[in-house]
Amino acid sequence: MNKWVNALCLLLLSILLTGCWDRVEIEERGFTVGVAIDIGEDGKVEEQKTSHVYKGTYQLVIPGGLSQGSGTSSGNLPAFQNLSLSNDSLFQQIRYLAQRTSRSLFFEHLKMIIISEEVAKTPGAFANIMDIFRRDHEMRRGVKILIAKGEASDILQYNTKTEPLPVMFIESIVGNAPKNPLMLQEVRIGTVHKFLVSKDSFIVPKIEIKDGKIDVEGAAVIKGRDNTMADFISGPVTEGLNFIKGDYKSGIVKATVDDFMVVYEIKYAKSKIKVNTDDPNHITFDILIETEGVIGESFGNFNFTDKEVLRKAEQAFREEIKKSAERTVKTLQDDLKIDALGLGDYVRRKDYDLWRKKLIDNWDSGENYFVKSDINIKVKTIIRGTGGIIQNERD
Amino acid sequence: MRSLEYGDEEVGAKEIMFAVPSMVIGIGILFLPRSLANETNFYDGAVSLLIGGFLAVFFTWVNAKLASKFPGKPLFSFVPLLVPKPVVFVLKMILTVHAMILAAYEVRMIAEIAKQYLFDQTPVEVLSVLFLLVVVYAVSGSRVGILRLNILFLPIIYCVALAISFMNIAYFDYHNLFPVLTTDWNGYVAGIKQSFFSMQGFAILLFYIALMNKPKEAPKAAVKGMGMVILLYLVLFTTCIGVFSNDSTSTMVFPTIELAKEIQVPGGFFERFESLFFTIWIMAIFNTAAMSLDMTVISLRSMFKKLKKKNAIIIISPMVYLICMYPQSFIEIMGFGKIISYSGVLVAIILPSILLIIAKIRRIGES
Repeated sequence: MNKWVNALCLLLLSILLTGCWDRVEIEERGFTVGVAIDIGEDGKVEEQKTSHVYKGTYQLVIPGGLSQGSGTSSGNLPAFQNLSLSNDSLFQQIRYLAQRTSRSLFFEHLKMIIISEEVAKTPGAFANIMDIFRRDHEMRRGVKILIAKGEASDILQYNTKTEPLPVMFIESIVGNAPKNPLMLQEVRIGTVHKFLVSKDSFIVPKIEIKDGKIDVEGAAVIKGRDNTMADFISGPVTEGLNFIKGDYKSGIVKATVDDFMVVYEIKYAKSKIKVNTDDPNHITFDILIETEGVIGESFGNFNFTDKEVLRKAEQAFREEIKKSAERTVKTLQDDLKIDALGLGDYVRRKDYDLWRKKLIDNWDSGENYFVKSDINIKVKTIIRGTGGIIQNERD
Repeated sequence: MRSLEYGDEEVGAKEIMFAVPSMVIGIGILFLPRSLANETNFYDGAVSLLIGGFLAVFFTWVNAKLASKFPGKPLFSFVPLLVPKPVVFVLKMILTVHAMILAAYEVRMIAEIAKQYLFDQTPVEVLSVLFLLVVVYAVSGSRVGILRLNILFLPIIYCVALAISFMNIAYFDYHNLFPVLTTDWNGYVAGIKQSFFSMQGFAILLFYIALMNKPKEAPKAAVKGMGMVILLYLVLFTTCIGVFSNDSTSTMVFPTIELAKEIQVPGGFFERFESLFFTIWIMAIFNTAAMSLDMTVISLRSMFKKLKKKNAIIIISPMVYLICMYPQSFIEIMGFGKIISYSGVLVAIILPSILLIIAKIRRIGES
């Protein structure tokens, strides 16, 4: 008898096993892969608590549209859906959007956040928008941040033949940064978090639709003091910046040797930065950029086995790289007056007392010791090889 | 009728060595990097961590030494030899309350964390009660069983904790660690306090060394166990500062969990490494909670000699549940943690030190 009672108890207990408060079927999840933030129309939101209204655009994946190949039924379905809503609170946007879609928004697989220039230039807005993406438990720290020139939501509409989702397409393009020195290396929200807290200036990759094509050359400079965007820098300035920061992965440099163009393919580059803080009014940075590479293309008939020719070519490339880096320094010191190179960090590490007492509020704001500092650039180039041929024609 | 008889109710030095880290590693390390980063500049928290760790090792040794002086005797059978009866009674009260609050704190904290990161809709009351039931089940069984379970769980816990550091190497920027030694003295002292608080729990030695067959080996084993804790804490703190920098670490509620969220391994499977981390960390909390509940049972039964173990558990568990449901907010739970830290100083440092000195002076127990 007792055995039967025990068995019954166990059976009844199994009812509890089916209970799960947090059960969400995967078909019911609205996988959000991209978010674009623009300035929304003012005055249309009830109970507005802040001075700005943001228009959030959320890109949801439609799994049916992703499956291509043999199936014919799903061929014409788009693979994504963009939902937009204006509100001053991003969290409320997400909650309200649940009314407009059968799938509730789910952010664990968020890939990127695109913020429009207008938003980034609004004082305080950039940091405020980043708040929910750092605070909420669904958000991951590997989400990429981009700043859009023009409307950010347009970029999420960009349709391509090669990828089903605009976000995937942009992600692959941003992932090409190591091959294109005019682009900035991808910036993750974890990195942004660090800069927002430390109040150091930083840079974020730029994205824009130019003549119907995605263009990701250049970057946006965010001033650390107020975490507000100052301006965009162009592709070539970004290239110099990559050289100085040591983020240059690979790329080509064109130079003229004896009136002929020679192309240097950089395979490896690094930089060393030394700082001298003896005189706070003239802090000196000695930056050594070292590159290694091969001759990628040569228009003149040079014999690269000749040491003299090789030295001449190296000299020409050195000049070019130096020019590129110096242009960047000039732009940052004279035009923007913002330390987007992260040089302040080197000063802080070298002389913390000086930094704490004098520079902490006056580095690239206030007295702006960054502008007063001297930045010397030295370049070392090594040509490791000449490619498959030595000369392009016999003498 | 019993179909299975357990083996010897004895443990060796290995069990004690594993028991210390199993007890100490729990909630504390999840936020220790934040408290350290708050008090010190850049990577200077490591200095505080090492000094705090050294203190913890020293007092671990004091506890182990005291307990090993009385082989085979649990705490409450040798204490009456050293101090008068009323004092013994007060001691028992303090230990019961301390261990009970500690168990409640661990249960509530893991429920809160599970709710925040894993179960959005499940009420925290339900999460707590389920976890507590599992802990109660463990405590109802053999005491040595818990200690052996530690040996099973601890390597897994270490593996996942070290994996978190290892998989973050790509994001590790050693520049974040410099400049060194810029903190003022107050900062270091506050850091030492924080590190030491998060290394408490070695008071279990007073209870479990009695089960050892060779108590002489206890101090060495316990100190080794504490060394393992310091090593793990140091690795996780270094990773936090290297990956996040001091400034952002000090703004995160649980920097160690954020480390798990930072990991991104292409391929999809490890994309949500934090899920794995939570699963494993629940095991760590389980060990801590089980041993604290067991401590409560031992202390309570020493006051009421006729109380059966099962009945003691039935009395204690609802009390633990009520205590764990008492704090209303996260801030209040953290306040709870503070109370435990300070009462832990009393239980694990002041009392054993005094008892050890008395034992030395009056030459009681084996030398």
